[in-house]
Amino acid sequence: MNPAHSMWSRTLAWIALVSFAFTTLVAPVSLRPIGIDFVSGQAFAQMAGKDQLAIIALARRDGVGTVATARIEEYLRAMIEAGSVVQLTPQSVVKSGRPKFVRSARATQRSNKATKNLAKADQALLAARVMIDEKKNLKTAAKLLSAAIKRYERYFVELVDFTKLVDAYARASQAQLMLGKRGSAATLLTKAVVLQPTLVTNRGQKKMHKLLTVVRGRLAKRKKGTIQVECKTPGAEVYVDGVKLGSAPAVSKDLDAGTHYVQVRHKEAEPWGKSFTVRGRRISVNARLEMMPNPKHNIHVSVQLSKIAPFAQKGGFHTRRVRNYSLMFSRQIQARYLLYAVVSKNVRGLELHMFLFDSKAKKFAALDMVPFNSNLSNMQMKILEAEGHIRRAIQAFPSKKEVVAQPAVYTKTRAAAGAPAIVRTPPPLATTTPTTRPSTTPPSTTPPSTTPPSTTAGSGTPAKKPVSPSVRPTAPTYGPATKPKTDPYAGLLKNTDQDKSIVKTWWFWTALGAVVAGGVATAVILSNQTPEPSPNFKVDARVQP
Amino acid sequence: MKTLTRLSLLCVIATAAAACAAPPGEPVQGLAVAIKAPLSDNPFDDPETAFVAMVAEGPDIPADKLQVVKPYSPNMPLTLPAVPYGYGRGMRIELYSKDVNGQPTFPVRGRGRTVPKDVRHGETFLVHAFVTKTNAFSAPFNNANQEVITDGRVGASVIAMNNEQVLIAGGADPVAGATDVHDVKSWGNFKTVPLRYDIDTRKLIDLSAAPFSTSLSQGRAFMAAARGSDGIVALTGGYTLGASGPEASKMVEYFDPKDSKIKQAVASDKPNLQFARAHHTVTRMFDNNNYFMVIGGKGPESQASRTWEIWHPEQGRLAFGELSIPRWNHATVRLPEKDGGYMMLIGGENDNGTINNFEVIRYDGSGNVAHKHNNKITCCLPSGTCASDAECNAWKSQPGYSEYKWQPLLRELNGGGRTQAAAAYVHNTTPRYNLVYIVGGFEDTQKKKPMTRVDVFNIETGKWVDSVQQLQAPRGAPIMGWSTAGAQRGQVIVTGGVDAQGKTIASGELLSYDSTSGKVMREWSSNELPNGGAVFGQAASLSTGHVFIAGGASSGDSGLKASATIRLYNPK
Repeated sequence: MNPAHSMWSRTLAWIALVSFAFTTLVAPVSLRPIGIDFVSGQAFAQMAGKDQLAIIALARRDGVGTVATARIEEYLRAMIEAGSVVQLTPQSVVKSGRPKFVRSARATQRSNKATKNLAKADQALLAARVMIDEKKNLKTAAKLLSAAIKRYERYFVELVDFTKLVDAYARASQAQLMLGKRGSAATLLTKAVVLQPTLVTNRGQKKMHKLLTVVRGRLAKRKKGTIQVECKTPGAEVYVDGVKLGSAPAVSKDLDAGTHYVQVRHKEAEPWGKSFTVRGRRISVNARLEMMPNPKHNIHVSVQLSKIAPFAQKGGFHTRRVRNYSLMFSRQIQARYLLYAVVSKNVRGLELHMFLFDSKAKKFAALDMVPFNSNLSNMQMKILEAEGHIRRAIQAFPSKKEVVAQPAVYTKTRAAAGAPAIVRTPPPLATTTPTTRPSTTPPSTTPPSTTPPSTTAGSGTPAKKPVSPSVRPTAPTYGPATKPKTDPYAGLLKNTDQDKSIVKTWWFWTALGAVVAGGVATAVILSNQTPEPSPNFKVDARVQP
Repeated sequence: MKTLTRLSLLCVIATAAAACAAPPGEPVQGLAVAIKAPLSDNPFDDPETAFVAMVAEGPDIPADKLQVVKPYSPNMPLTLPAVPYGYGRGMRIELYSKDVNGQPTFPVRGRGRTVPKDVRHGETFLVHAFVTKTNAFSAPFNNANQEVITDGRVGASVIAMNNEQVLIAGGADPVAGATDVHDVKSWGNFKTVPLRYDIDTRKLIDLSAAPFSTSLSQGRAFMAAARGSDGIVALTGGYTLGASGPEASKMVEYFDPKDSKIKQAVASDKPNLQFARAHHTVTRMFDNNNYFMVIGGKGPESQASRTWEIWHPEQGRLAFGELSIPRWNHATVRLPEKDGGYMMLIGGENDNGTINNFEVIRYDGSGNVAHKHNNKITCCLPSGTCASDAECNAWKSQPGYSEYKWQPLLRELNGGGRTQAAAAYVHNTTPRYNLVYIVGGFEDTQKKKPMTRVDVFNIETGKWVDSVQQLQAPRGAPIMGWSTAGAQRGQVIVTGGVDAQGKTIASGELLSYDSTSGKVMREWSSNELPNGGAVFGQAASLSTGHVFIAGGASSGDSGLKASATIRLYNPK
């Protein structure tokens, strides 16, 4: 070869290499905006009553750097927190293994019971309405309404829509009137008007309309009363007869004589309620809310984070053991979903593999892999993509991507590290579960080899490093992960010269010179170039009320 | 060496590519948002207001993805550094109080939105977000001097246009000493001056003044108005002042937002309606056209109540035909359909009393209107001639006739006949629902029996929505509007109306559909309205999520009084 040509080739190559490295690795990171300010999305999600998702750990494999992993984790957290599908469990909760607020078992039981009874009352009311409209089975309708009223009255603390109770009173009154019991009808209608003074009846029912006029006249003669509600808990909201009065203390005036229902609610307390009979006087009530206990010292932590975090490093999501531990931990911290993730590396860049555990389905789903540029220059877009995968998985759980075998990311890396991949021929479709456990071959301890890799799947890939004896053999798998894959590292092993020190080579110093020259050249090019317009715009606002 | 040569070649290409592909620059300012609030009832003055959130909105921006939340301080700046360019970009401003941990907490205490803009590279827009208290009526200005419309606007047409401005056209004042809201002679001084409200600048502009200098040809009130696909507003019929008092009008004019002028279909020899009409309705027929269908109403000629007419701003009156039954004081909503032309006629009244059905009619785009008539399908040609089944069959051979396979729908209303009810087509995509709300009205033609009924028809299932909910008070001729933006989309505000004695009702209530339970619930009710109760006012839905309520009259012990204020309702 012509020495001049050789020299030119070498110089040009290194200038180009450095320029390329500068423009693709350094510049984008420093110039691209991050652009999203995630603040307090968690607070919004919490109020909306979303399920919780806990990020257990972001493990790293294949020599992925800690900084890159930390950045991915940081942005993933921020993106999930800003999202609206789930609420991100605080890291302090995950680390401690204790939930922040837990409703007592007794309160939960009480609430469930009330909800069931109110639902039954709703059903009875609707059924009775149909009967009354059709003027059939009036006695049954009256009984149904009586039962509905009892349930509404008994569980009014959890009742949100008091018009149901009013409707039940009015309908019961109508049924009694149709059955000829005017006295009972008047009593029930009075209760309805006391709760809703603006109550109206169908004008087609003249008897009912007349009775309403009479009831209104009676109530007008009685003295009206006032209820004053006080509560020391900041943020407690007061409702009288289902009408929100605002934050405590609150006063409801001009209440008709009769029974009125006071409710006090707070997001971190059990709902409080009491009924009062107002007879022309002022009633003062002090609501004492039972706050949900902070279980810092009450919860027994049976599964520590340190126990389950290594699962992200080892995989095994298809095993019962990992599922059981995950289930226990999710119940312990009251998070419905657990997210395990691992960042691995391939020739093109980094890969984020995520595995989502749903404690209700008691299953793991493998989410689509998210590739990143090795310098994370596309991190913002890719994290959005990752959050999308999580969101879709949650909305469609259990998905078709349920983990039934060890995920490929774990088997792949082991193969790259030197262990011969044990890929067994899948059994016939009829016997997806092998009746006898296939024997496993001990890992090969073959020394590093520079022999070009064999293209035969399953015959083992030449490795760069010797395999540690502690590495356990890969379990036989029959899912998608067992598909024979060509080793992505195979090409890198070509022309590897491990015996020669790099600093002693002529081309190292040539390269170093070229790096400097190339860097300067690229910097000049970039400084004279108009930057491409950003795909985003900035919004500035100022409060000028 | 061979490898090195290859590598060098590769790197030359890479360098060239890298040098050409310059890194993206810093995002430039696309939107400058001025956050404003009303002088009275300013949510920023609320001591509970602790945080301000700015959230980017757009058709392709996930909800609440791009947001910034900061503790509130006067004149504070807010910045979103990177919002993708695109269509319909807007900012939602919300105010929050803080919880015991010092974090923002619900409920949202104040909310406002900017008018959406299409932001492209190199463009910067100055936009305003008018933040008002949630679940409250606020003055739509931040200037105390503009609190009041200078004159009465009873029966005015209030229409939100495509450019997010609101047109207030026509209207009347109560005659001195008048007490009966149902008597047309109670109204006089019919208005010619149109007004335009701009939510972005919060200004109310008198269009009769320079530079617009435009007015209605004759003072009118109780017109039927509808917005066309390109933003024009057709103003049809209504009452005008005749020799012996108010009389129904044939006049059709339209407001053209391109030059802010009131115009007539001058290119046509038939610019106006065939019959004079009041208490009628007008509806745009197709998504991408300006064909309007004027339906029913009452006028000196008896044909008005039993006919429909089609009107176009360039072609004037195109066709007219017969309805199955005469109707006036009914409500009409336009239903979605890719071929367009579906309209639901709800209730109303005629000489036989109140009408207890709704009817869905269809214009098929070829000039044919089909409707239910004595259990038979009839059809009408563009000339307006309608025919029986037999004649329709005979017409099938004529050019331009198209076979229609659609079966008209006639359904009995829940709760019997009703007239002067309010109706609206309320729809949403997530969760998906397509509902027609029918609210209040009168049971009788004497207007002595106002109704509390809230009936909701699901046009997807063809069934009435199960609801135990009624209005808080019986309301005849209520004012109804619904919020069309954000999470509050679908909330329906019902205000005003009159009771059995013809007195206006000074309360409002908020209804919403719970897609989970499939029921309509009352979210909120209030016995006090800042502008009192009103009847014959109108509501318009703005893209900012507000409902704009204007016009109407209130009745008190001293007689009728024009409601001179306009209000913005901000949903819950």
